[in-house]
Amino acid sequence: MNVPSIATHSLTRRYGTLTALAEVTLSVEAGSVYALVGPNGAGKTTLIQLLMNLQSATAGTAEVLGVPTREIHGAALNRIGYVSENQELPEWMTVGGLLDYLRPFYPTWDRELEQQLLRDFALPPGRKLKHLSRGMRMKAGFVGALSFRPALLLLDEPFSGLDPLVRDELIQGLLDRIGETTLFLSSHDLAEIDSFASHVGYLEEGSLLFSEEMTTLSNRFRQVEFVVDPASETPPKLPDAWMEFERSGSLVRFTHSQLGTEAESRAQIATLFPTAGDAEFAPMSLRSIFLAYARTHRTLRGRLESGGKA
Amino acid sequence: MNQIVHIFRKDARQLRLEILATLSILVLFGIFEPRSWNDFVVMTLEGMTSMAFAILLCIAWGILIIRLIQTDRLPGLNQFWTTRPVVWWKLMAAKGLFLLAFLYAPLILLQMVLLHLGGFAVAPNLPLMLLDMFLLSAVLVLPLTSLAAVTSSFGQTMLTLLGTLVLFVLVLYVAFALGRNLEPRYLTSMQLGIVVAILSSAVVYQFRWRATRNTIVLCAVTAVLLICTQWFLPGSSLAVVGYDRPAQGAPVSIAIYSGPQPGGHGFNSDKPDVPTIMRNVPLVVSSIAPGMSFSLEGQRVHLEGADGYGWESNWENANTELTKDSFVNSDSSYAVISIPRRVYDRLGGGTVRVRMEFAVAQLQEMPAFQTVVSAERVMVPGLGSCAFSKEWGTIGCRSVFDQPANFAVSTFRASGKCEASPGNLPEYGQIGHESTRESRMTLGISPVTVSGVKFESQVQATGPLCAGAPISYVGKRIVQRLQMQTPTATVSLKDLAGF
Repeated sequence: MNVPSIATHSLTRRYGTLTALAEVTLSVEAGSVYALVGPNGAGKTTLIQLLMNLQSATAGTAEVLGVPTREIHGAALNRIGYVSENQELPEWMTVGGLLDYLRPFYPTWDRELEQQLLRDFALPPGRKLKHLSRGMRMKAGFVGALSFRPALLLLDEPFSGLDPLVRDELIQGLLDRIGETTLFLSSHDLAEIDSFASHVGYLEEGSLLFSEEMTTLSNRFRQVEFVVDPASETPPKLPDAWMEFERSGSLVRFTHSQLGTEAESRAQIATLFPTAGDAEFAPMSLRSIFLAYARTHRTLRGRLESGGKA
Repeated sequence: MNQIVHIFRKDARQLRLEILATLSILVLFGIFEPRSWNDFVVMTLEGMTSMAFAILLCIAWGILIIRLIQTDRLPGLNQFWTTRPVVWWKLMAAKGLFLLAFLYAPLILLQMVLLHLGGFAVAPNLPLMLLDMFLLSAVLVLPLTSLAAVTSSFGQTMLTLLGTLVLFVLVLYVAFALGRNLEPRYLTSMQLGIVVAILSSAVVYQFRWRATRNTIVLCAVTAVLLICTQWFLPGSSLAVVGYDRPAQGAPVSIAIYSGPQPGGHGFNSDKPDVPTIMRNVPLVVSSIAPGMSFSLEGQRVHLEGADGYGWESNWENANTELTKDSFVNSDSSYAVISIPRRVYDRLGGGTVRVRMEFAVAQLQEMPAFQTVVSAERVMVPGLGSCAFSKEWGTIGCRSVFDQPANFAVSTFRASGKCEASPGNLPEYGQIGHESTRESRMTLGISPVTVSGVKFESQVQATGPLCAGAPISYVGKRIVQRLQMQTPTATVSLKDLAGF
């Protein structure tokens, strides 16, 4: 059995009374591209920092490449690449100086790959990092993280604030490595990962709401729309899988989050809305799915909080 | 390539300007310092320049240490190196190697050169140089390394340092107001050991775990321990641990004189607003063997009133030599005691039972070293190299690392011009530390210290020293440190002389 690149079990991180990460359990298969998405402050960076042993968990366990995260330091980092939007690079160094400095740390450093990445990213080796744009600095970070052919690459908001051209170049650089390297990246920009992530997890307020393959996710989500008799009533209890239910006169719209087959769903609609016409099932983009999730989650939380206060 | 050397080379490249500045100041100090050696009576421009470079050097070292540690910052989550296969102890070793290469090695090299220029052999003084490096580590390198290890930027380090200094001054002020002695100059070797042990552990802990909050707690514990040892055991009481209790046959006997109080030893003016009452307790010292003398370095007093009320002071510094006095027919001296006003009032200033404990240094006179006054340097054993300076009209001695204990000097002055009477008036003087407490080694950048013989008479009052006049140096060597106590005596506090 293959060891997952990342495996966490009930991983929790609290800061005083604030829970940044609540019992996150996930598994990332080797060779996959796992996108961890969620709004700002959801706990994505905390999770990645726990995986990199930059922070310690309050509870739960995590393993990266089969190594418990508390033991990830020194030589254990030979196989793990890390790029973060917040990472402080030694800005006094030139691009070439940075790579010269990094090279001896990694037994698997590939000089040819390094040169190829420098060319692909059009990085000037003689220029100091402090004189580079944000995008160029990010590229330098990528070269430093890819040239030793890591088994796992952790990316924390790698494309944040970059212009589309640079973003595409970086994504292309990553796509070239898919297969030999497991990618685990966090992002709040859904459009950028839609094209190449194989797995996705959604984190909201420290809780992992789901974690699954992209194809499964897009198969089970549909935007459903149908027309009913305006005089008909809406049943008081709707299925939990129907998210963002809206009715405007005769037009009914919702997001189906657990679509089995369209036939099953049509039968369910017919049961609840006997006057319903033919329903339309439209595929959803990743962005639409997450927006539906986020809005539903917030509405539910709002209800709970107001109920709690009452 | 070895990771330690690799990181060391990176740091050396990054901090090349700081290294250059530090070494330049060190060289300039090395140029000016020997020029100041002839100015042992007053400080001249060379002396001030040398001192300025010494201060600059300490600042430059401080900046270098802070910058070095923070090139691979320890606190925080976004440092570049923490996500790379850097082994923590190799990173720490690389920083140590850097300090060895650019701080300790150049300094020890300079000290060797200065020793050579001062006329001293290098090899016999190597242990002293290593001890000096240890003191430098305890006083400068380790505290700054710890501070840099728990702060994120140079600015933050400076602010923390400033805050620490303000706090330190505040503690000193409060201590002074409460009559406690927190003078850092009296830090004992045990206290320095505590500093080195805890701060080293804190630095290692921070490199290993980067748990900044815990490391700060460790550093704070060091500071609190230092303050506590000074506060609750004033007068370097920890040092009293190093004073042996004589097993049998004490080499000196000390008792409190309880007979009629002699006059002429201070005056008693107990103003009501004075928070502390000072009293001279006369001591009777006997059984001093010839060639021996005793110096009080610390003391503690126990008082008990007629109604059974008792009070015991803390250990306090003392600096009194047990000398012959004329009021009783034996060797005698005084111990100055401080009694809080509330205690004095409670005791009623009347008759009390007194017992005193002393930390005593036993000094033995070394054989006299006889020579003649000469402008050429003469090596005096245990003191250093001494030469007559016509310019200053006295004798200046160079010694290694501020080591000399007290030396008594006796020679002759001319009554007129040297040519007419090359020396017919006896003259006495002394050189070295007046207090035996101060004769322990102090931290210095230069291994050579200079001091002049302090003569009892003035050139103007008598005549000049003349080359060729006989001169003898008699040094006193500490042979042992003892804890002693007096028998309980009954005295009247109000009859004792005060201040």
